[in-house]
Amino acid sequence: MKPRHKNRISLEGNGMDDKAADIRKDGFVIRGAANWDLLCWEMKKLWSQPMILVFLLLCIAFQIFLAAEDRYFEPGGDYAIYVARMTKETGRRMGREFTEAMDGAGKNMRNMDAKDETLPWEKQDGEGQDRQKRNGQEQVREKQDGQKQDRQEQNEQRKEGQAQDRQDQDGQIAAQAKREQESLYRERFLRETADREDIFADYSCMKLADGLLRQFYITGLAARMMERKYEKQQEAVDLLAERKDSLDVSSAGMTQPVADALFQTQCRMLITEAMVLAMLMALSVSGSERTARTHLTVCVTRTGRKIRYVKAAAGLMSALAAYGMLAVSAVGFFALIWYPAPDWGASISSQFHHMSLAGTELPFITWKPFTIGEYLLAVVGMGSMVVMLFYVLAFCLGLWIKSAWGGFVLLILLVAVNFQVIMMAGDSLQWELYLCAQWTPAGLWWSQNQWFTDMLISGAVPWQECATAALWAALCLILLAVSFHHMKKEDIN
Amino acid sequence: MLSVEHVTKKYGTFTALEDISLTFENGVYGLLAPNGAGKTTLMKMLATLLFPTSGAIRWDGRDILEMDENYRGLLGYLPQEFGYYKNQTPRQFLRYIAALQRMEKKYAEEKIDELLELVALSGVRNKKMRQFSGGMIQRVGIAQAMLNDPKLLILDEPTAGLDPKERVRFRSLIHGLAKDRIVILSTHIVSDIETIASQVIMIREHRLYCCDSPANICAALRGKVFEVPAELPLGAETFLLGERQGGRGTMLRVVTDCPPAQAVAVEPGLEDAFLYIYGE
Repeated sequence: MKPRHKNRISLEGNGMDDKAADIRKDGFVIRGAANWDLLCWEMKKLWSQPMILVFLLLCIAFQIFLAAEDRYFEPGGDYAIYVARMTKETGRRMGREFTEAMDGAGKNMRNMDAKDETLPWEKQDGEGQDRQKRNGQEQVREKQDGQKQDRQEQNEQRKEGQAQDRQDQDGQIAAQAKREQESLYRERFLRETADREDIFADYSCMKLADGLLRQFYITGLAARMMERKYEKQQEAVDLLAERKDSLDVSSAGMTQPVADALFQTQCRMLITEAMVLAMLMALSVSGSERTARTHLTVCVTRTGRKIRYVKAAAGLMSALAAYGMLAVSAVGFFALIWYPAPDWGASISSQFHHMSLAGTELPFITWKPFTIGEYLLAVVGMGSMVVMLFYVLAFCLGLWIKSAWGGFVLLILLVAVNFQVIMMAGDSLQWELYLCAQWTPAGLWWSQNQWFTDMLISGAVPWQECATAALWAALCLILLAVSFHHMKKEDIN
Repeated sequence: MLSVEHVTKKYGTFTALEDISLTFENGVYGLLAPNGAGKTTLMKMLATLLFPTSGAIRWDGRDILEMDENYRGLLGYLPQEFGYYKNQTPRQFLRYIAALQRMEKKYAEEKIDELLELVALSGVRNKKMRQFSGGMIQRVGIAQAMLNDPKLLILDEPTAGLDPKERVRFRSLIHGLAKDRIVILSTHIVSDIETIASQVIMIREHRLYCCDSPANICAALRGKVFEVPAELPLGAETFLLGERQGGRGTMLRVVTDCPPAQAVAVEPGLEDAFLYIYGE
């Protein structure tokens, strides 16, 4: 085994002999291991910034606040829980079996109302009466012994008995209130699920298309694309009709609020927060060396300008890790406080779930059938694409502009311009421009609550969100390659 | 051997350096010029941070840009404004540089310990650099430049911000390091290189003025440098180098071919040459 020589640097030493050459050969690792080491270093440098951790914690706190607000401060949360419990007995699919199961559950309720069986909270009545009896006997005995002390004892016992009685009465009142509440919920549940039919059985997508084209004065190429889109959608609707997905109870009348709480609030906040954090991370990794004035030192090392590849990878991995943490906290907390709602196995296209356009409620039709759980996974997956796109764009901007805050401001400005174009195009009925402006990362992010659906007037083709994500993924890769290539030949001052 | 062959660097219409040709072998080279002359531009081109507009820089006959990381692996560089991570200790910082140099961890640890000892920072190896003085930061900079045992050491104004004691220590350090490597250090402080540089490179008006030993540069002024009392009028051909307080009052140091009567000839120093060359 070759001995390792200590290449001591001394004022009298000979630093550059063959021993040093051996050490040079032996002391330098293979590229893969070195890149991994650098990746860890870059991630450590990024996460050591207080701003990143503080932002992450604030995001998690805000998610918890919003989830709690939807659950506890908006009406109907308890009803959704009730529905979730009931559908375990009745099944989730409305129809004959569902009605029979509801009748069976109704009989149980009526029996309980008639006190054919003692309910758990009603057992306290018998105990209360026994207690009263005992108190009375004790009072008689004490009276026979008679004196002031006896009277005091009697009074104390009477008070004790009265307190016990009040507790029993409170318990009865609470139980009564609970029964009344459950009775109201049951009535509501029956009312909401009575005589429901499959809405997709006779559903015509072309009728919807005609309505949209007329209402919004959509003509020309945009109109033709919409018509083709809705022709394709008919296949999806027919499949939903075959599966009878619209007859899923989900959370009955609370389906829409629960879906809004999950997809409109939690998912939108999750993706937005992760997107902003990804942009900050990208700008930080691309500009941190200049900020610390270490860019000269770093670029002169053996790794040199290639450190940018490592930084890009480290930042992207960190952004996705942060997204994962935020997703776990958002979905986890939501599931915890809404448990056992929502019914994760119910169809996302239940007739209780809809999209809104200009005050009109339209069925929530996805290009392929999804359960709520599957749809959530799909949204979280697409969200990760949005995070990656914004990360790469911010990273490239940071490389070109050489200013972290300048890059951030410019990116926000570009997003704002995108939305301005969308609004102006819509207002001026320039639908081709309107549709084109949707095909951007900002448009993708904004349309999050309509992903995997026809997206109404914002969608030109089926699976538009996937097509937009794929297009921009390719563009971002090209942009990244061009940026790296340009930076290889750039002077570093 | 490092050779600079007809290198020009332009920024748009501005020419920072024009047609510079130099050859470096083992030893200390002092790059002496006033601010804005192009010293840092040349250093950065040698360090591959800047690309020449024309010409080539070669290491043992090979273009350094083509050599890529193989050249940078031979290189140690201390920039004029050495940046660092305030929340890191010198040890952490050197470990990061070692990772960038793709050094094996165990070997890197040994080198780091040696270097910290060499630059007298062993006692504060685990202290955050935000608490360091300017001189201590500069020493960390020197340590990181030496980490990969470079054959070419480029130090851009390394004594800026150092107190006299630290500058003396630095000079001793460089002198010892230069035996088997090329050391190029740029400065506008003449005393930094007067005693340690075997060759002095002077750049004037963005072109190479001279590349010679300090003795030869000073020899050009031999017999022309005088000290005269301040009250004496100076002739038209007299160039004022500076003044000092002598036993007989203020004495002016001048360069002239026609010394006045009370002029005392003095041995020209490198600073005299610097002031004369750049003062014209």
